[in-house]
Amino acid sequence: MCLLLKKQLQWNVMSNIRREFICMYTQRQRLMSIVSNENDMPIKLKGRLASQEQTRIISEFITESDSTNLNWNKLKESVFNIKRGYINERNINGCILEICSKQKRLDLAKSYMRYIKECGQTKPNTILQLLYIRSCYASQDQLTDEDQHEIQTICLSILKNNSHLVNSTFMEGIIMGLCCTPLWRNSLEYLNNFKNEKDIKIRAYSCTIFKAFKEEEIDIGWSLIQTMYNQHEILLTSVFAAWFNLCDINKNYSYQKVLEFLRDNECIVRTHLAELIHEKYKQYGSKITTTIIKPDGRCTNCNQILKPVEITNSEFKALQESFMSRVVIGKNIFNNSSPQELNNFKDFIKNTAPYDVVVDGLNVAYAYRGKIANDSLIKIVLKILIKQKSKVLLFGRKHLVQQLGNEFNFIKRNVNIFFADDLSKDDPFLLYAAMYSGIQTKILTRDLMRGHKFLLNNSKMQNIFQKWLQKNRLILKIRPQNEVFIRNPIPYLQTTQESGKGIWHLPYEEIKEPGSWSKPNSSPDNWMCIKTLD
Amino acid sequence: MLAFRCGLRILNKLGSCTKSIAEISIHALKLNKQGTIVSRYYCIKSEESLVTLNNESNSVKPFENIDYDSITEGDEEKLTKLKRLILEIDLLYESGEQIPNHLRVDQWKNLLQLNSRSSRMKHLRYLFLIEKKKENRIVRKLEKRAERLELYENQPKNDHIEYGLLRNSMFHRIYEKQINSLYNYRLCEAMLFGQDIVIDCGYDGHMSLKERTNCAKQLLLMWSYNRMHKDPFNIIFCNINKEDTVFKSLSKTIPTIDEPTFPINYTHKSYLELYPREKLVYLTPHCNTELKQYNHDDVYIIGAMVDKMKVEPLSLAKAKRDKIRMAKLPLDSYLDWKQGTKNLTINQMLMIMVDLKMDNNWANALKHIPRRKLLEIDAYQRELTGNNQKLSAKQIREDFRRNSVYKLLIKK
Repeated sequence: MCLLLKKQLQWNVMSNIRREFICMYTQRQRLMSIVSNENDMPIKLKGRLASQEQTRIISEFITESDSTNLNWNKLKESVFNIKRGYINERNINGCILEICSKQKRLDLAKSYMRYIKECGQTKPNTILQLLYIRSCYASQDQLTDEDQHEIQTICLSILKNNSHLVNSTFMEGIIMGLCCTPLWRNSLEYLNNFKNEKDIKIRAYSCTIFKAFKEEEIDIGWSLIQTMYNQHEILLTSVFAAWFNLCDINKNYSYQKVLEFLRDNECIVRTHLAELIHEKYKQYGSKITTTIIKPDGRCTNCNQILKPVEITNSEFKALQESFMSRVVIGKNIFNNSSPQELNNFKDFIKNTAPYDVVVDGLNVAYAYRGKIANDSLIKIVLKILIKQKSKVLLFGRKHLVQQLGNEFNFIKRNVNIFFADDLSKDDPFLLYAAMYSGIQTKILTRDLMRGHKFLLNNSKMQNIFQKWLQKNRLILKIRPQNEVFIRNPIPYLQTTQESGKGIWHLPYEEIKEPGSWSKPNSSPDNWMCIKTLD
Repeated sequence: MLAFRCGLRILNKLGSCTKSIAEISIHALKLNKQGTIVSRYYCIKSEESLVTLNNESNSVKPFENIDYDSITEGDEEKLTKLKRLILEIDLLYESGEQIPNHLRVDQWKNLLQLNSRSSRMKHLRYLFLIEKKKENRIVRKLEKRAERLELYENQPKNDHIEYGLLRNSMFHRIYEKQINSLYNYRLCEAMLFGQDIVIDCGYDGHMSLKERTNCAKQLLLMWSYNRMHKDPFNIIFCNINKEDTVFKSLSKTIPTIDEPTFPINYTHKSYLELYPREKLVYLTPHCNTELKQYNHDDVYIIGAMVDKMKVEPLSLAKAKRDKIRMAKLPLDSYLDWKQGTKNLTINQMLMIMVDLKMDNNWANALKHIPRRKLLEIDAYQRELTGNNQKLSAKQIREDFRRNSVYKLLIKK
């Protein structure tokens, strides 16, 4: 035992000392030049630390050296001197080229390729060529005509040799190469012919878009932005910045197109893009202020009323069907419920629909627990609703009956009731009952139903569901002195929109740190009011 | 000399991928025998390799000797898919991403099954970390051996017989084989006269690759714990399909699983064919009824399922469809839960059941739940003193019960 303890103590001391040694060692490395030859190192570096050291050596070499005298051999030697790093003789070529492209040193990348050819006698393999093309793309503006011609031949030859093996990464490399050359229109063809559309990477699109805007082919550029948005649902700030740059150069193009695009796709943008738009529009002379929208949809800045949410009948019908098949039934009906219960439920809503309000009994019963003294919230809520002479459906599980106690008799007389089994889920049935009884039926719940929205599995359907819920979800509020009241749903559209001539409203969301809370009613964080000059 | 030979045998077992390290180390050991000072860095290659390196570098490809035939099994479509995959991985490898140096045939097959690029990247990184771990383990072993050899050589030698551990002793050594036969005897006795418990292995399609391998590992742990127990269960694996990944990886760790003398029971049949419906009880965390006490007439079913990614009430749905009784462990009435889901791993489940069977004592059985999932005992008591409410007799009884469980947990 004693021996063991001693050993452990020794080990701890050793490891502490070693950590200090590593720091010292890295310091010393920095002080000495890389080329200095050290054969036996006193300290063992391994794993991530060693490979960081290796990349540091390469990047230092690349930043310091000019293109006249290059000693690639010595660089390799000093990199391999660090044992047990992740860079070895198999992948050092790629690593050097990657760092060249990061630092935009085209001359070094070229000279390295020449060096490989010299010492290998054979041609460099496909992958190295692709990496070379990448580094060429990174330093696009330094390319001469000769270089462009070279890249073009490389691209075409690679494509010819590997035409049956085209995958997304390969495609990306080739498109980056072609976008440096006058042959860039070919890349459109490749993009269109690519079999699996979802696999095309964002970078391949954005490269082509940049080139298209540079060549003032605006239609191609905008159609590509549209396809990119459809595939990946992403709005790249750099793409819009490229468009604004084009507008700066050529006054014929309208910068309004960005807002029109956002309006047509019903986007909510992020802070980066919002800041870019803010800056650029200010430059063009528009008046921009951040604003607050009142609950009825009136902008505090310009007093315009925002557009209402609209769902067409066909959309609503499609939503109903896909909700039934995807969420209520799902993969296995036994997960949520049982077939018999589903049939009972269907019969019940067939007989008793349409309702004015559907109440989520369990959600309301557990809301504001401990804040309201003695009285059951369900009874209060139902009394308010009955006073308004609306037809109400109370939805819950069977164990809710015990909780209600004596009040159950009163509720039973005035309200339609459906209780699901204790082991079933109630939310999908509740939502379906509201959908079944018509587009004007309201729901009373505090739940945002995000889990059920996700199960719809189709971004278009999810969008419709979100709109429907926003339009129909009544909001429960409690004022001081235990006064309960029910607020109407949010009526206005929460996306980019043009309200009145030349007045735009643009919602944007802040970048949230993981774990932080979003707003309780899932509305966007901030609004921007833009008055353009026209 | 003996230790040296042992070391060599280990090296032979370690396989071809580590050959280079092994050769170097043997070289180092030889040097060591000649009497030179042991250096800690025998992995350093000689400088000759650097000279030849430049000529090689272009011809070397990241992945050589891929066994195309056994991966694709002669399928043309798979072959093109594989080639595309190789191209993608090559590109990632050369640009310095963390990709393993060698991939086995089954690893290639698994990679081919993954659909999206990001999932492939994640899987490759996972394989990379495993590879590095293995390499490091070998190096550490060699270092230790060198230290040990040095120690042996420096020890003073005497002429007469040596006593001590690993040397001459008055006790007879008990080998693992003898202990094994004792355990197997107990298991066989349980098979003849003991209680049955059913493991339902029909969830293979609902799990991801990692979850399946985890599941197989849990099954192995479960089986071994049951074997070592004083009064083991007769475990019956139901709904087994021999093509499933779970069964394949289980039989990989137990190569003798199919031998008639090996004490394990598995069938492709469902539990409904083996037992009458009234006797079965499905243990699932999603239901409402609590298991009050162990009933020796019932046959309990545990679902062999790992749900790390998405929690669906699959076992509940299965029991509902088959119209079997359901039960969950009375976790809420005995313990204060701190964090994490209330579903336990398969081996923990069996540990609890097998201990519960002995004396129907929940306090004893629930000690197998990991402590990180429970509230600390002092936190629990602080809450008690803070509450200034009247104590009823029922409450006192409940507190006593809880406290007894917590005391046991602390002992553990």
